Amino acid sequence: MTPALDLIGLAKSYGALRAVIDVGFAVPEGSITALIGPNGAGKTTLFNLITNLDAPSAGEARFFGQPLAGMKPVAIAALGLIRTFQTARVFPGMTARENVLTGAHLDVRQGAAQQMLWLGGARREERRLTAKADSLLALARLDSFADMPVTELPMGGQKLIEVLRALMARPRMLLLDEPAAGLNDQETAELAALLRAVRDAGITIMVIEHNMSLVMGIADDVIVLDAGSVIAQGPPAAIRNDRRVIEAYVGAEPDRA
Amino acid sequence: MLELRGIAAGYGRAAVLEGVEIEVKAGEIVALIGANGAGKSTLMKTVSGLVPVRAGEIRFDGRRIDALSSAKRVALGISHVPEGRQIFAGLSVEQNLRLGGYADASGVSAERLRRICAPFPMLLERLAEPAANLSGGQQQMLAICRGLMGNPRLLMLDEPSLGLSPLLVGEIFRVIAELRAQNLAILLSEQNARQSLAIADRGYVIETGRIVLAGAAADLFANPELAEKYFGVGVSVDAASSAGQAERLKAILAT
Amino acid sequence: MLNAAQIVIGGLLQGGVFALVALGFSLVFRVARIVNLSQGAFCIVGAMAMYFLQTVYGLPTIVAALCAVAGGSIFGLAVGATTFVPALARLPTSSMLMLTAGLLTFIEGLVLVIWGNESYALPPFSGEAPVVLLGLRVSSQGFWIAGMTAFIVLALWGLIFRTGFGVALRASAQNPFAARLMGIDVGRVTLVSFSLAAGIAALAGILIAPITSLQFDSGRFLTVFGFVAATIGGLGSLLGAVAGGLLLGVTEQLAAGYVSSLFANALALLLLLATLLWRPSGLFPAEPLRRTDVAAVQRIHRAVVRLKGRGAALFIAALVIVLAVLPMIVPPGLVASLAIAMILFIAVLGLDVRMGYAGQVSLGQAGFMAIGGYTAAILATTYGVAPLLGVIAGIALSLIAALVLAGATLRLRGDYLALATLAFGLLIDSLTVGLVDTTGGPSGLVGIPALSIGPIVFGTPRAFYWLALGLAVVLAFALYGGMRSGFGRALQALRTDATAAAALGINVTRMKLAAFAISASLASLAGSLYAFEFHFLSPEMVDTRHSFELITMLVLGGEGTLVGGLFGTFLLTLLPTVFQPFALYKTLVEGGLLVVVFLYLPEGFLGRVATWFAPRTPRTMVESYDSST
Repeated sequence: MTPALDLIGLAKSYGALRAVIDVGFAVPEGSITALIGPNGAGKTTLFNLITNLDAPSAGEARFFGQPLAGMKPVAIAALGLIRTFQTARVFPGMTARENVLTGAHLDVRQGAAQQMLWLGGARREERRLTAKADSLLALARLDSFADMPVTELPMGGQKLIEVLRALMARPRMLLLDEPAAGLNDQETAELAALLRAVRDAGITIMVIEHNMSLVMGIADDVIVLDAGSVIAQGPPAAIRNDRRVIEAYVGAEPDRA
Repeated sequence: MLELRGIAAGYGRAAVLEGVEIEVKAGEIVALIGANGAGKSTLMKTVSGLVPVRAGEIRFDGRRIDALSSAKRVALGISHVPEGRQIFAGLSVEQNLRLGGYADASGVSAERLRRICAPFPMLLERLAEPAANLSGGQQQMLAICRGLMGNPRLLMLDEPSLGLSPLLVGEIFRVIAELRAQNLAILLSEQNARQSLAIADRGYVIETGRIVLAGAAADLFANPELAEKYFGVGVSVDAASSAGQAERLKAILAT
Repeated sequence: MLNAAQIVIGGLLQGGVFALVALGFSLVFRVARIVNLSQGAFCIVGAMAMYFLQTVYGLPTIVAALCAVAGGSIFGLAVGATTFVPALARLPTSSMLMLTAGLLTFIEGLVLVIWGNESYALPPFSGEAPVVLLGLRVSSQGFWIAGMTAFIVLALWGLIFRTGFGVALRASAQNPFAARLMGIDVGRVTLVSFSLAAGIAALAGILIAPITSLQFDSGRFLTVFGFVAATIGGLGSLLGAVAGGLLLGVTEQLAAGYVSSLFANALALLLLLATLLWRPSGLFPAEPLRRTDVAAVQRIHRAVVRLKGRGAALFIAALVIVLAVLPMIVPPGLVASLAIAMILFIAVLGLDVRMGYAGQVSLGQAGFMAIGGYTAAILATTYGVAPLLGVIAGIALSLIAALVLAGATLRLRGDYLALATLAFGLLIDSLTVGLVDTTGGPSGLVGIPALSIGPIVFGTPRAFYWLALGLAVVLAFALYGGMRSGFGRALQALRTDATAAAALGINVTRMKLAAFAISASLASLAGSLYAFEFHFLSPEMVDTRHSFELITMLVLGGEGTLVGGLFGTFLLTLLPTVFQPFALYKTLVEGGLLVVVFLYLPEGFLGRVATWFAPRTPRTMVESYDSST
């Protein structure tokens, strides 16, 4: 079966700095893969390379077999590969519901002209999308926040809104960059439940995360990046005990005199 | 020397730090450990005056400083070496160093420069070079030395090991350990828990803006909870409700 | 041969003054990363002060000059301390630009109120007789200009590179965050720079006044040319300011001498556009300068205003009814102003789509009004084309201009884009004034027929008002349909975060173009309606000043509300008519309002009122933090 995402020899250098060095792995469809590693390991850079926000110095990425080289981020999103960003990038100045609705842009068939003429088709579509957004908000238990300015929501809520927004885009795969950053334990549990449900609904997920409880709880596969290279890959239980990984994170055990 | 009592601080409406209480005494190194986004940088910025305090008080040498401007706190002897080095790329190494002593009215004499930079001989060899030409590790040394120029009484180091090779990290930590002898109060924030605890006297673990563990460095070092904070027990997801959620989600996404 | 050399000398002299103004721009840009559009206004303040100190109070030249320069600096200190520096910490770059535009208008208005609108001419410092040097006649003033420019350059160089303050200045410019950690008061450094720049501008005004006559609004001219010089030379660079100034001065004089002054003006603006497009950092790029745009770091979140439900529908219906009967209940003299207000509202609607929703600053919107107005007017008067066709032709031409401008500026960073739109607006200004054969020049076009659509002739102000009202209602309704749906959401998304928007499949370029096209068409329509209403069109009616006015009207009511613009247009159009003596203060109040609104009322009046009725939407929130995490 074609993997959802296939990375082959991806590399990126900024002058003398080698940020990503020969990274290659495959993400099977319908799985949750966690990409972990210490600060500065190159995880977000890797996401940028995949979605072509940054052009790779070498290698390529394939999405369900389709090479992504040279495609604009807009086109990649249209293929069904949707990504979120590290800092909560909800759109201020709009309500929570409107933020979620923005994700449906790829799904909108009635253009601006039809909307401005208040044609029946446009109004029906708006109703359909609004109902869908409301259902998603209810699923995530955020329906009471629907009409609030999105920046009024607690950070956990904003991060969930970002995920819901991505879901509106009819994704086949989600690239989530630190969705649990700044969340407390309860919010993390809610996010975990949602991500599991998303995976069970057939959408592939790759997350960059520092929050180990989330990673250990829901990931099917864990890939560890350090200084631009993959240093370990495997199921959570195996990674947890991997000495190299522990060293990379918490620091080498110093000599005990 | 430095005391934070019941500090709530943050940007605008949301408080990033809540109920934070820490203490750093002269001549000791205190490690501040926590994951990305836990609030380590925010805590330091609160002390140096870049993030406003919403509740609680900060005392420096017994005197309240939470209402003072950044500039005044620097003049009192608080030095903050920020994350990511933050040197002045367009200026020379020497100009960068001298700016460290900006708040000191008496100015930085050549002798003082030599004395303070003694642990960083590589800097003394490159005083006239543009700071942008230095490597990452050298820039970190520059940032630390700059932070020492004003003869501070409190030195705060925000993730000095970030992005550096293990060899350089070792050297930097060695230098930090030696600074203790100068009776400085040192607050060191790090993701690299073990290495910072190895040279610290005491430590605090911070998580989502709250202090969750505190104690002597050696105790924290051996504390199994610490390892768990990093490789915790996985968050548990109720299989049944998750399946139900998945069904609902599938239905919604199909619309 | 001699003639060319003479012209070059003249150009160098003028260039010297441009260089001084450019130095002021660079000084402020260095530390604040903002182009201070009000720079030229301080030149006028200096010149006016000098005139009165010297001519009216009879002070000796040197003393008067020193006092005027000092006065200019102190005035700059006051302005900077109350507006510029506090705003710097809160506003994104685009808003700061508009704030400085507001300051420009405000100071102009102040000069107008204090000194009136006559022209003033100062006596040259060293007498009228020109000096003859190598067979060339050089005005004695020229030596003063050259000398003072050289002195200021050296003094600034010494200050920046040889003093402690200069080090603080450079540190603040390169890394304000780290500078604060060193104990540097970045706000104070910025304020001193602003004040110095004001003083230098005052000096420039004093030096050039004897060889040009100055009026209250000549500041605009000096601002533009000083800014063009600074940008071409390299914003933030001292050498660039001087090089740019001299280059521009010589180019201007040569172009004016050998071709025409219209050509000279257009050339300057084309040079500016070319620089912004191909080498934004200028001929002599300064030290690495990049403003961490405050929008990304510090946000002023507009209150989220959502007029929904039956209550809102009733409100709108009532509003339309009130507007419809207005001409019948107000004094007849006011009806013409009502018509103007309604026409301008149409333009503001378009601007709201562009600025309020898509977040693209347009400092030259009136340029499209000019294109629409003049096209329709010329077609109607010279070629007898039916007015309706003329309006459509105007819109078509505006769309072409918009597409060309958009295509060229698409890749530009926010503040450069705004400046490019300003350049566009000024270019149109100079074309309307300069192409005398086509547009009638400064005296304008007369005899524009009434607007007639088939058998209906809109001859009276009342009829015109209703026409405009009808158009406004239809347009507002259509735009509302778009803004509340996917189109509007996509615009708002790309306003705050184009990268995140693109990651959701929003074609940012196409959306921006659509917003641009809508705003250009509506402005063009408004311009055409203007022409048919007044039966007369002059460049003054649609110049860049009106671009700033449109922005003020929009912001007063509330960006992103569509309806809010109504408040702004009515207030600013009717108030001067109702209170006659107010007319003198109009410029002052407009500028002041723009500044005040950006500083204290970013959501506009309608936005603020809406927050009273919707308790859950909060007041504007200000989050402020430096750098990351």
